[in-house]
Amino acid sequence: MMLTTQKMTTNPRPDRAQQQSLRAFLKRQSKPAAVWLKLSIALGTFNALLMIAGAYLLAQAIHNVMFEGNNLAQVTHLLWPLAGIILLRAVFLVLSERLSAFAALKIKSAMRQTLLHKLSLLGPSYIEQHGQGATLNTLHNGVEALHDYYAKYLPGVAYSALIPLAILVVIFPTDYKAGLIFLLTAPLIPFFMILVGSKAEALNQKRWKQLAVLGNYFFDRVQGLTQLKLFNATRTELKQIAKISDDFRHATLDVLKIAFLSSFALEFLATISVALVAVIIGFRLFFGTLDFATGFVVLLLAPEFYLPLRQLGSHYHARLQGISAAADMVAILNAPLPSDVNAPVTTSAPENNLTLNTINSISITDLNFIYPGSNEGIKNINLTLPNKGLIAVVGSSGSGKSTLFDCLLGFHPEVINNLSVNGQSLSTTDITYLQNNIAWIPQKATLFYDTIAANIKLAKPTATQQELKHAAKQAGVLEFINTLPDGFNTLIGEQGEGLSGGQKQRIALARAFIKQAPVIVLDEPTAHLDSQTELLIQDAINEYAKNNLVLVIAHRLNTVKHASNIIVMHDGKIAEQGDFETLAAQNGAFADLLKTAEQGVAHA
Amino acid sequence: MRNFIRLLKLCAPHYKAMLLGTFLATITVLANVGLLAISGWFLASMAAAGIAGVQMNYFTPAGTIRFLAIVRTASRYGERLVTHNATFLLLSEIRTNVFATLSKLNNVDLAMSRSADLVNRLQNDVDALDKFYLNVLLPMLVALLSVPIIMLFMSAYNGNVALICFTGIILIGVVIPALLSVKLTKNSHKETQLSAQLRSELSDTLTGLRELSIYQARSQQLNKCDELSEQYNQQLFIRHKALANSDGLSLLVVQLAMLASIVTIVPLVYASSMVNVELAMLSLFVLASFESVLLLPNAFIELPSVLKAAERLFTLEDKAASSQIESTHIDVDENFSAQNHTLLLNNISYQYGEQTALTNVNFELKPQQKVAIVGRSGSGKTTLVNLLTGLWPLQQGSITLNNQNSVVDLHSLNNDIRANVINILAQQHHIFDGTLSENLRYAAPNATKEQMIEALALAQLSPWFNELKEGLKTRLGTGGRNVSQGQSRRIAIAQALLKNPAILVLDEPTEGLDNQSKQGVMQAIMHVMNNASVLTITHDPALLAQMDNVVWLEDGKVVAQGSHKELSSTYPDYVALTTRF
Repeated sequence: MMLTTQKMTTNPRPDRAQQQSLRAFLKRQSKPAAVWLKLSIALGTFNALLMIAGAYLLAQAIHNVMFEGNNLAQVTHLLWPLAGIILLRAVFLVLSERLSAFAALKIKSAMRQTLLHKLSLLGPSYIEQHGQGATLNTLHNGVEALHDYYAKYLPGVAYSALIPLAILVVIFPTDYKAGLIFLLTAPLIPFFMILVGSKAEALNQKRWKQLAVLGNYFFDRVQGLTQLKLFNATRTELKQIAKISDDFRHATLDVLKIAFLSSFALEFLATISVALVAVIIGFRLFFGTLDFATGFVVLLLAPEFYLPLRQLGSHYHARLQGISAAADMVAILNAPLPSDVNAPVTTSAPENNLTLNTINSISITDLNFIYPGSNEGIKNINLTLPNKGLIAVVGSSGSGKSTLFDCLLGFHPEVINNLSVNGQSLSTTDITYLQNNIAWIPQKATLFYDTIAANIKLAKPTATQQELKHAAKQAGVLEFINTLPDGFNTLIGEQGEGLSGGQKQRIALARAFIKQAPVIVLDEPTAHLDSQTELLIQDAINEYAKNNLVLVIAHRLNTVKHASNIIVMHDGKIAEQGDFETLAAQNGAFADLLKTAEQGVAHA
Repeated sequence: MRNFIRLLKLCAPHYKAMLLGTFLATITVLANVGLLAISGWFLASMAAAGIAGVQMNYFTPAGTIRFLAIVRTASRYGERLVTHNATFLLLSEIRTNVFATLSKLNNVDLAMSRSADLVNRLQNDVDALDKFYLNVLLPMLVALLSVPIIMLFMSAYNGNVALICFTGIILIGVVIPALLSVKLTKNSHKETQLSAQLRSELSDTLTGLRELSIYQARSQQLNKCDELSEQYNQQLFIRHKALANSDGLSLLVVQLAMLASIVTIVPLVYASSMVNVELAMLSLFVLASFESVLLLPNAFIELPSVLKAAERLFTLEDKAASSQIESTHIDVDENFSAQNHTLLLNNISYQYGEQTALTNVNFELKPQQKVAIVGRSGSGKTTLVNLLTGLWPLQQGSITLNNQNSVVDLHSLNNDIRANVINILAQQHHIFDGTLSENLRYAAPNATKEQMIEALALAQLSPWFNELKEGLKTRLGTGGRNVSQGQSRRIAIAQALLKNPAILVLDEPTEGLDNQSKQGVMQAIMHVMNNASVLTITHDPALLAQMDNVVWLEDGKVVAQGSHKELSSTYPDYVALTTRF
């Protein structure tokens, strides 16, 4: 079974210092929606003020009824405003929550946009180095993981400071002794939380790997299920899964025992403080040093005083998730761009095909390219390509063929100076010019989640229906498209789902043909496509090569035999070049390759 | 409902832990409600006594308040530990259950739902069920237990107030969450769809970055992603708005219930038909009583997705149970050995729905013989391998093990014997998250350390193995050391060597490897071939040259058979097919 889900992250959790900088990063990223976030917090705080006012009204009404002998009519002037406040609070709560959610959405959208833009500048080799799956996860789930951080955790932090403060400000003038109890117990809560929290965190840090491994065990075995069946090991594995699940339980509970202590300390302090306040106020009421209305307000506000702090504890997970996701994002955003790529790469194509006939030759001079942080790459490449003909590039895997093509296609802007067209050296701003004159068919073409027409017209958005049909016909895919009920408007699924490898390849071919570029670059599929497709691609490129330049990474004997020139790559260098007969006759790198390719056939 | 009951049955073995958790959680809620109500009563009474200038016993209520505060905190801590313990007990129950189901399921059912997809879905479903007790069952049980107790006490003071409070509790605990749940479920389908669409669009963009650059379509595609991301976010906003609305509505209900209670009580107090201190007590009692349903809304929100997940898993379970009955194995001799048996494929045909994958395929694999299967993608090679595993039922034809005295159907062998007779080396070899020796022992549970090291050496892994500081105890897989594709194949070969089967089936063992790894794998294969019959899918001329016979498949039919040499000299198409740079 394919390994598609990697639930377990193997990244260690960020330590305290890293968390600090990641939180600062997340804070900076909130800019696009800072206004909404602030407004949400303002409304939430205003809501708390209304709650305080409501407590006063309620306490006064109850006081009046209990001790002043008021009837219902005499307290309506207190109860109606209270009803109004309740209504307002409900409205404000809804607005505040909606606004913080809205702000989080804005931030997420902006973040995804920024990341994607940066990734497009970093280019395909960065993505390949860091794993396409991991990058995709950061872009998709990672960005989503930020939601609760912005919508819940950040406002929560603000409330945990603002609301207790508001309550203190109101309580102190009314009854400073109760205020003192609040003031003295409040700092104890964060103190104990940090104390216990850091112990739990340390334990977590120490055991995250063990926990992750145990938690992942089951899914790992499900992924390898077929293999377990083939080994006939499912029965013993069942016992093992039960045992590991049990280990997982024990290990997690060990951590939870400590982690729950932090909320235990918090609850304990909050509850005991409320009880203490209640008892002290009770005695003051008894001795007549306080009137009931005030005492009751304090009792009503006591739990509210600790509530924001308790809620903050419950957003712990949102915080950790946000910070972990941020680590991956910072890595992408801080990655250095290939040297000055600030050139306007995305400018629109020059008008008409002015440059179509002007490519007489493409030259590569003294080209060296080594991948950062490795010694793999290509060295001392000097090459001149004519304006027509079929040029085959061969070499064993790792010999530098793909890197050479990437350089030629302009994907490594730092070496574009080594390219020249018609004897004129290119600069970084000319990438677009170069790419405009090239059509490219990779080994596994990417078909986008769109219609067949849109996929072909990607290369030429202005193409007419006539041109579309012509290109499809050239690529031998018109007949197939016509058999589809929706024809060119058929929607292609993810990664060309529902199409065979041959059909995908032909659509990519049509895409290349519609561009009518003077140069086609092709990485021949190594997969064993149906023979019809193979022949068709063969014929089509031979035909195209009569008037244009076709550059192909060749994997097939026939392609190599038809090439007007073969370039043999070995260890990042050009080892030989020439036509098939010449090279085959020499006892060089090509002869070696040929022998490997045909082993067993050569001596037949 | 049926699925809910089946879920409860899964919980049954751990009912003690679950009930204890429920009990503690209920105590927590009641202690908190009592704490607030008694505080209100205490304050009012003390004030009343102070004003009237009479003595009162304040030790009992003051002590009760402190006692309840401690009970609440302690039981909360205990509750969290007990309920989490119960959650993990259930998790273990669910996981072993699902695994047992999957291992019983026949592989066609697994493969038909696209294995990768199945694993993904399974993971989400199991995750959803893991929290069934904590997030769904517990809040429901707590509400069922604590609400009647609270109502009983409240109605002792005033029936109308109890009625108001009960109405509020039903609104908050049942009506609003049920409405919300309906709305969210309706939306969740669209959410999932947009999320998947966004994911595939982002994935396309990342894989197609080269094409997008060449065709100057990058900004166009980035815009498309941005739009979709925005659209997805807008869809999510519908959910968040609904959640915000329900929060606001809940606040409104709680506060209005308290206000309504006061309005109900005030005339009674005024008319002196109720003691005045009870006004303060009851208003706080009403306010606090809503804690009994605090977690119920979330339970209702999660319930539909939990039931959906349960339904899918139970469907698989039922399927497994039924397929188990169908395939009863005829037990052959325990000591059945396939040595000196010929594997005979007779008239095999196979169809996926309308599509034909194999048509009348015949060939044989004699003892110690080496046979290769060659064919383009879609020619039916993989189906053939799947059938040879014995985990896929045959549709037509037979696969038998023959010698002079007996003919045994491969599919009639029980799993133990079949696994010893035939070993399949899949192209996508799964390296398990565990140590190297654990991985090797999946193939041979009783292998000794020496045997394992020898197998690794024969599989050409010695240079790699000698570098490992922890030797056989080195962790591999997702949580451990990365192995390359070539290493992974050679580990598979080491497993095969340890298993020492009579027949070995290899699926493109050298495909996708660079030259150096290829040579290592080739050498390893040569060792395996020494004492087994080998059937391999391959296009590799180097491997083909070592084979006694090559079966050339095209569109599910055998085009030609013969040695690599013969086929090469007779068919130019065959040469084109097997020659690759």
